[in-house]
Amino acid sequence: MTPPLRFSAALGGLLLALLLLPIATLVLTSSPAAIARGLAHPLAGQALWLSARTTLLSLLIVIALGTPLALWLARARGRTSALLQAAVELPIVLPPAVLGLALLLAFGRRGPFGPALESIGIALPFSTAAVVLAQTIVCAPFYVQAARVGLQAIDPDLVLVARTLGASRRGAFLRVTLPLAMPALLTGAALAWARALGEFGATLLFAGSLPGRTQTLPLAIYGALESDVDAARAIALVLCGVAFILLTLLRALAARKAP
Amino acid sequence: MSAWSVDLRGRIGELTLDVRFESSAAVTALIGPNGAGKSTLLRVLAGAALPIEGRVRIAGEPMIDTAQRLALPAEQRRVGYLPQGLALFPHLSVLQNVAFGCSDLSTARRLLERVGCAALESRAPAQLSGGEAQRVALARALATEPHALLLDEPLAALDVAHRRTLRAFLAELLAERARPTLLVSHDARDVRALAGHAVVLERGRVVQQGTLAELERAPATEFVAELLGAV
Repeated sequence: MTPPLRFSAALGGLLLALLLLPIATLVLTSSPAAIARGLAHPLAGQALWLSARTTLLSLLIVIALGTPLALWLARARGRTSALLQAAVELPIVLPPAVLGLALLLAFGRRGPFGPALESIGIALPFSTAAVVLAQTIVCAPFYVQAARVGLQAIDPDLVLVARTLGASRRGAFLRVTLPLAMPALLTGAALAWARALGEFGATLLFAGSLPGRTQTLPLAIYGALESDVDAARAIALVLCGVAFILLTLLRALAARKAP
Repeated sequence: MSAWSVDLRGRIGELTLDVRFESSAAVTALIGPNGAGKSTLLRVLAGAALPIEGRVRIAGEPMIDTAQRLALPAEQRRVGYLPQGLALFPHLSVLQNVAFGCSDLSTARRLLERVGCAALESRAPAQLSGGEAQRVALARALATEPHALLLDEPLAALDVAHRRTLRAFLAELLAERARPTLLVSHDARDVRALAGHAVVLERGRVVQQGTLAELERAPATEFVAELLGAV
């Protein structure tokens, strides 16, 4: 190793240690018995089930609405398209607490949309629907961005040739565009799901932390920390496991995409 | 009856297209410098949704007539389109590419044999050489029995020897069954070998059209003189 490279390795190694040490401590100091005890905690089971339901629903909403949006953005040109893209990316750079507050102000009882919703019997704040809404907003940009980049990379002549060969607009989308964009769509979906699963700030402000109703896994860690460290640790380990699986999946996808 | 009757106007990005020509030749060459709008015109004729006005008839069949609000969708035009980049579907095998439009494997296999690529049927497009990819793309364009062909530089990106072989092959293929063909080329030898009529496009406009002899006798622009005088 040359001296400059050794210097880089030393500094880089320090950062790597900072990244990995806390996670390693979390994993290595947990005994299987403590994990089992933690998972048996009533908060853990409830939060796990709630997180599974809400993140899956948010992801479905994001895919259903985000794919058409990405298709639109992939084809749009000029200043409008740049503005739309910036709008889509906004939730990535805004602090989650700001989003939570904004959601509360918009859909709260005294917000501009609150009374209208209330008149049809919907009270969003502090409901499971609020959890889904917060997750949808924070995770949508990750999916839309990845999908747009993937769709934009497809040569428009591929679709035109498919059409001249007799495929309808829908047929060309299903047989050409979709399979070619699939690695990008899956990558976006995995990133979006990871973000939804980890969502904390916006959910806490807009939906609160009501066990069984709005208390998702990250909120349950926070809630359990005061009373039962084992439960907090067990929930954290579950999230670590999911993250590890997602990371492996993303790397496999990236490898498949590269020629 | 004209093979091609084109009268189109429109602004597509930086390019202003204003194209009018008629041709009764079996093969019409479309020539012009880079950026003249040749590929864009081919895309419009193939059925790409681009902001354009006017009329197009291919072999007498109306394809576009904006005054009548007619713009036949690409899948109904029965026009075979071979783009410059070939656009072979990268996720499908050679055989699946050729069978994309006919869903009849025996027709696809027969065409692959015809273009000399029968042994390549299970390969991925990425594994083909330039000449092989060109032949496969040509076979795919012919598989739906199109009524007309749009060929965007079908012989580009080939070395001299391959170009000569494929040119002879293409000439044979085009003579086999007369169907209106519009051929974009940058090479006078291709134009001479394949086309009876030429349309010259410069900056989105037709600057000259006629038989090759007419173009040679009185080239309207420097580009035409240079292209046809080069050989």
